[in-house]
Amino acid sequence: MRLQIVTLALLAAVLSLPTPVLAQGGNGGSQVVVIVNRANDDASGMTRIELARIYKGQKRSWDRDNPISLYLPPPSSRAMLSLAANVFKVHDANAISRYYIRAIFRNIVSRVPPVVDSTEEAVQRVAADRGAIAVVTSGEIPNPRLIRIIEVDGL
Amino acid sequence: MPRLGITAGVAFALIAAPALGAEDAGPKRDLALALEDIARMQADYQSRIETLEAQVSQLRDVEAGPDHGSHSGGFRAPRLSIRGFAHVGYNATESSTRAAPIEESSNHFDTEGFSLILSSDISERVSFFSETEFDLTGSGSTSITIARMKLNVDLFDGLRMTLGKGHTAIGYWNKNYHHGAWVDPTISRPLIYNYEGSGGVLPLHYYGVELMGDFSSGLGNVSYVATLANGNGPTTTSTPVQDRNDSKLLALLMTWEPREDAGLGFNVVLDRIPGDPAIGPFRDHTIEELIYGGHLFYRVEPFDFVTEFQHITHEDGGTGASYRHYGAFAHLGYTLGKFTPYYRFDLLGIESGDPFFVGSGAVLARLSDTVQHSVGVRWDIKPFVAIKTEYRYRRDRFQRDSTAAVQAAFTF
Repeated sequence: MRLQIVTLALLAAVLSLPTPVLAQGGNGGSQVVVIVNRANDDASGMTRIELARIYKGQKRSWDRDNPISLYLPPPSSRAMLSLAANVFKVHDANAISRYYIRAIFRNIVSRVPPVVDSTEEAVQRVAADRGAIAVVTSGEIPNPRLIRIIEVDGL
Repeated sequence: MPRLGITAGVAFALIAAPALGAEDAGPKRDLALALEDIARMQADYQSRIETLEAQVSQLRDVEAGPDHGSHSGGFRAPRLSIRGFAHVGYNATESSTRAAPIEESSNHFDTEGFSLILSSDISERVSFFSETEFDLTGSGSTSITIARMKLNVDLFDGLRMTLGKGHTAIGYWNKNYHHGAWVDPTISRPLIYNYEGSGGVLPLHYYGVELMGDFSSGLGNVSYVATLANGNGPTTTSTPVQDRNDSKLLALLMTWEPREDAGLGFNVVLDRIPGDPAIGPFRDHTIEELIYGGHLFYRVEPFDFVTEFQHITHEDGGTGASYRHYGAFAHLGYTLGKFTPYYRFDLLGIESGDPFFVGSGAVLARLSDTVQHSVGVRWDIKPFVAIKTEYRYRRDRFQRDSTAAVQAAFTF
């Protein structure tokens, strides 16, 4: 009996270990979402048009003291494809690069935003920067409590 | 996820407790205590994992340096970005007049040099921008021109102030296309937007301060640019680095975009052009300049349509005579994969005798009503390399030109 109790207790402990396979995003699904710093209260209710203004460099700050830091998703990721199709209205990541080169030329932005290698890196950078914003796939977010997740219609 | 384990453990405890029964209260209590210990350990591990992840993120930021934009309040240095634009090409032109069918023909390989865009975030709200051209002149020498140089200050969201040299807020094309051929959809610029040194009639460059911004509503986005700058010099090619008179150039450009990449707008420019007796007695007095125009664009793939017009009035302060000129163009492109064929119609209407143009050199003095047709194809052969071919037919009062051009334009 004692052996059975201990075995079952160990089973419970094993089941409690975090496993990436079973990890769920804050939304419980796998969709492309926007993530911002948890302290950012200005991004709530963001629309696709507002997201486009942010990523196209037309909106450069959340408020007077909080400039926006953009991060681009990995080039081949689902998040990048969604950003290209639904925000920039282009076909691929190269077209987004071309947009930023033209935007630099037109003095709209100063540089091409950095590209993260993974959703995990995006979460870490957004968690560490009050003005940061990134686009990721919700199912890949390892620790949703570190950031604020925003669902944007049309993304 | 830890909740699943805790829930499983509690559920097990609830299920196992009756099995243990009153006959074995000691082990039952031990089990409950063990489950509590496991729950505490899980919470502790989770907290430690989160702490470690945050520390790793901070270490990565320190390792990567200030370029990765941490706004933690620590040390940040300006972040300089350098981009280049260049083009090479070939042009063949045949000119004819009424007197001679083919008076002049020329063909040559063409590279005007390259331009460098330097941009840098000096701080969260201040940035620097410059466009410097390194030109190869016809005599084989090299010239360096600062085409644009601006200090940008983001006053607050939706309002930016820039100080320095830039492109005047005249029309859509002049604010979007500058000296980088890779950005331009065509080889040649619209006639109305030819640069001052190429027979242009508009003050396309300014030295001064600009306020620009935009605001959105349910009806779309409205953007504006207001300029206060040194006034023009006595000729079209006089660079207004210093103002020759006390009056300043005022310009306003507004655009309404009811949807992304489609909209319309207008512009107004006011200036007082100083007189210069050294040019000739006809230029003794100031000239009041009024420019107004409008633009319409629809740039939603696969269509690329832009049309504009500008109207110029010069009022001679000595004679009181007014001279009115106009210019317009319509550009239509259609994207098919990597190819974008296009057509553009250009129109210039010039009233002869304008002392400002007469006193600005032979090219402007000879300027007359002009019609030009341009047809071409842009091939984006690589993401940052474009091959353009263009044929232009231009006719004015004195001569006709046919030009065939090929250009490879790229950014680096």
